[in-house]
Amino acid sequence: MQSKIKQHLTRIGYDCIVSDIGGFPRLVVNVTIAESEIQLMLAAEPPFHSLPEFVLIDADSFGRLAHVTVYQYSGALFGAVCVNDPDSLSINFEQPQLVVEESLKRHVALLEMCLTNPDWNNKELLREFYSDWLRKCRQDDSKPLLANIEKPILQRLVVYAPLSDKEYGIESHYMVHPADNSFSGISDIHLSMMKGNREAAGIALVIPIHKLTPAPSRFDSLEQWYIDTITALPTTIRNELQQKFGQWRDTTYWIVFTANTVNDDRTWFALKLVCKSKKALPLTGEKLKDWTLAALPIRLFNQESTVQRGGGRLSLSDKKVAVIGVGSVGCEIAHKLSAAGVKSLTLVDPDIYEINNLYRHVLEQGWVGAPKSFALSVAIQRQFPWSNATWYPYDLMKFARNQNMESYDLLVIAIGNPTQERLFKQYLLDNNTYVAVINSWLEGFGIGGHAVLDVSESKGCLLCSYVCPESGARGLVSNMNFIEPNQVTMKSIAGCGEQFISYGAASSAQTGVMTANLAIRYLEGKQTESCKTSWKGDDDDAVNEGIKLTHRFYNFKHSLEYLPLTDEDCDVCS
Amino acid sequence: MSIQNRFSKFHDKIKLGREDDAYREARAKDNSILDEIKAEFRSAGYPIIETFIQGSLSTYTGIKHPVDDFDIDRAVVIDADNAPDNPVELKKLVLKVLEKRGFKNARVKKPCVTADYINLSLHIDIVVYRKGGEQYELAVGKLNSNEQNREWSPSEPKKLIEHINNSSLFIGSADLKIKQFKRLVRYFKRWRDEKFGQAIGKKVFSIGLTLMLKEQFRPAIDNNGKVDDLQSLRDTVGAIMASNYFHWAGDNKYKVNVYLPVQPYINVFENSSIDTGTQLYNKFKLLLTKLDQALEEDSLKKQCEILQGLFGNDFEVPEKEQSNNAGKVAYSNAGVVGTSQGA
Repeated sequence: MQSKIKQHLTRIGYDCIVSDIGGFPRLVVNVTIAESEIQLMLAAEPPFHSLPEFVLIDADSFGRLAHVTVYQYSGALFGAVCVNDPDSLSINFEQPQLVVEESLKRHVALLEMCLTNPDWNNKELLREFYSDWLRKCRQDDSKPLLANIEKPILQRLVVYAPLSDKEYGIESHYMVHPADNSFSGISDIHLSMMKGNREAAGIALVIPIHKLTPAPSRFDSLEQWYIDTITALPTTIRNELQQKFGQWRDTTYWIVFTANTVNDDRTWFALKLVCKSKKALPLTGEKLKDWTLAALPIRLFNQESTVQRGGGRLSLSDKKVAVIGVGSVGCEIAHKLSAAGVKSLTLVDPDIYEINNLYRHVLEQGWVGAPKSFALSVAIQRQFPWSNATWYPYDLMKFARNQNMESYDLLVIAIGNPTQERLFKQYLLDNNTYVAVINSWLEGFGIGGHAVLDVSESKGCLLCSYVCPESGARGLVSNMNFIEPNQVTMKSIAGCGEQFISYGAASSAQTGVMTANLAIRYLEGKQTESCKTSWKGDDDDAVNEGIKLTHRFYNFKHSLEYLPLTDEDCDVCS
Repeated sequence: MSIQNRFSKFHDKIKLGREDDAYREARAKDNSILDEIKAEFRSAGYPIIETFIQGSLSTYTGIKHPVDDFDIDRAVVIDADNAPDNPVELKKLVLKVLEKRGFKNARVKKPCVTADYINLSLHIDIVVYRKGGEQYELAVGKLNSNEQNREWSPSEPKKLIEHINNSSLFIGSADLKIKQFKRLVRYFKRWRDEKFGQAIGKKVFSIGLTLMLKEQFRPAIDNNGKVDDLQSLRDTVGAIMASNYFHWAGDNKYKVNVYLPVQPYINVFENSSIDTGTQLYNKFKLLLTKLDQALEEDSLKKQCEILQGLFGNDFEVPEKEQSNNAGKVAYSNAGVVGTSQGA
């Protein structure tokens, strides 16, 4: 295979040889970039299930190159060149010559950028600062230092030690004391501090760096990098360091550095300094001699970074949303809205979590017997540290009569009860209450789910989706449904009072996610008009059960699209 | 308010079902007459084993006629093993009951016994069948028919009802579609009553119109599930005109043929005149033109005016272009509807 690859590369113009390196015949490609002769060695053998790596021979002779990690092999220095995210490519493993050709092109192109454009090379070195820093970390420091730091300013914080009996979870990490007080009172982060069973392990100093230089390479001295960095700090910062923290003596310091890299992106990285006796923070090379330095991985978490890293929106943090009905659909909606960054979530449901609910609900077994709304509010706060979800064990109408509906930015109703939903709509109309409402429901047998956004004073309302398709009168079932009315769609295993609609967790989750997306669009101001949306599943199960489906089902081709809601026969909207 | 809403109001005005108030007295008469026929047959040694309603009431396509009587099409069935060879014997028994009950114009026609009630707008047709196994046979013959003109004729009255009521071939919203078909039958009947003189109108048999409609019905429901009777009417009339019900008879005249889809598979319009076929053809053509005009019209008021011209004053025309609907909430007729909604 090696000779076939060599033949192929030679045929398309590359200068290739096979050379003995480390006792193995290796394919080496000679290329010229910016008048530099460069040798790239193919470091992988077919079959190729990822992009085969070429390594740069004599890597240290080209200066510091971005995306190149230098290492020692068989007495020589090689550079591993990173040209892609390994999961982002689909490899033609049936044509290895073509894979090698493509990989080689990418390696040459990257090295050409590094060698011919020093500014770009430097920016890339800064961009990948944290990746390089991780290479300086000891392999056994696999758990990052968790740091809840809001602002990149010079400050002193306490570092708490992990609990020795905790293998997983927040309490198994060193943690820099949370600097904000906006956590949920029952989040692990808050509780782990409040319980008082964590010992203080030392002091963390946050030091902002104004001018970042590339991270030390594998062969650079961490001590030298530290001294260079401290020396390069602005005088004001150095003085402040000296005055505020210079009097403190300790055996261990955690230094959390932070700096802008490229395009205002901010990086955070940490060093641990350990000394046998208590001493002040070393700020000169002379004083550093007594200290041992170790680079540390760090995970910064504050509301801004954690929410955004999870795909959430900070703009949603001040929105007030109520989810009424936290069954299989509502729990998904509540979960996804919290994940999107909605902090003020009110969960409303009078039901108790039962063992029958386990296979289509997000709550754990431990909540069986608890009010669903309470249990979910706890579960959400436990997962999302900045959530302050609250709960009411009310049904829809009781909630409406006990709370000011207009104080909410959005109400999401997922009770699957058309009577109560229409009753609530009438209540809003009768009381001239203006609030945006989403009604969400699914139908059995995996046939589909629906959501209606009713924005006050825009065209279309919930009752538009209830206009009788024949007469134009107010109907009793939604005209969006995929299953014809008046059929037996409930199943019963245990008799009266135990009937249920047959659908799986995938259907309720799909409906919940669809509804949450609509809610987020509305809260972000992207969807300002009333609309409706549906997803359509397949009809296998329904047909097997002899269930008759609607014309809309067979002709519906707009799954997950936002469609106009208004109906010209709706007595409210006309 | 949509044109469909106008059609819905029109339909509410013209429809007639056996449970309607307007029909209550007729239904009471029918019940009591039936009791007497049963008694008469029993005492004559021909106990009635089954009875059912035929005609538009059995297919839910009845309409109120502005002038004419209510119709009752009642079938009585006796056991074939017990039936006399001469079917007219049984029709005489029916005639006897009707005469005794004060009906006028009671007479035995070839397929039935027919009469009008004196003090009530009620016209009654009673047909007699005998039944052996699953096979029904119709008592055919007039009072004075000789042996060649009277017979027990194989017939499938229930299959005909099933054929008209059958919605199994509709894919999706089958109930909405069969109901739309039945509304169209009612619209057609009202159109016939409005557009034909009484003499010809009576010859444009309801069953003929119903069968044509059933065979050529084009449902119209938009992708949101909203029904559109105007579009369905237009498409169905277009399909009828494009099929082969009308046979050229020269000189711009036509013979109309519509065959029963069940025994005895006869042409419903077998004995109809060329004049009937020609009038029907020409009026269908005009109907199609008017429906196209209504579809092209943007103004709801003008649409309604065109449709009022076709269906009469029961199809209301709004006074203003957009009638103010505020405060006029139309609620569902159903008390409870089963839904598939959950969460």
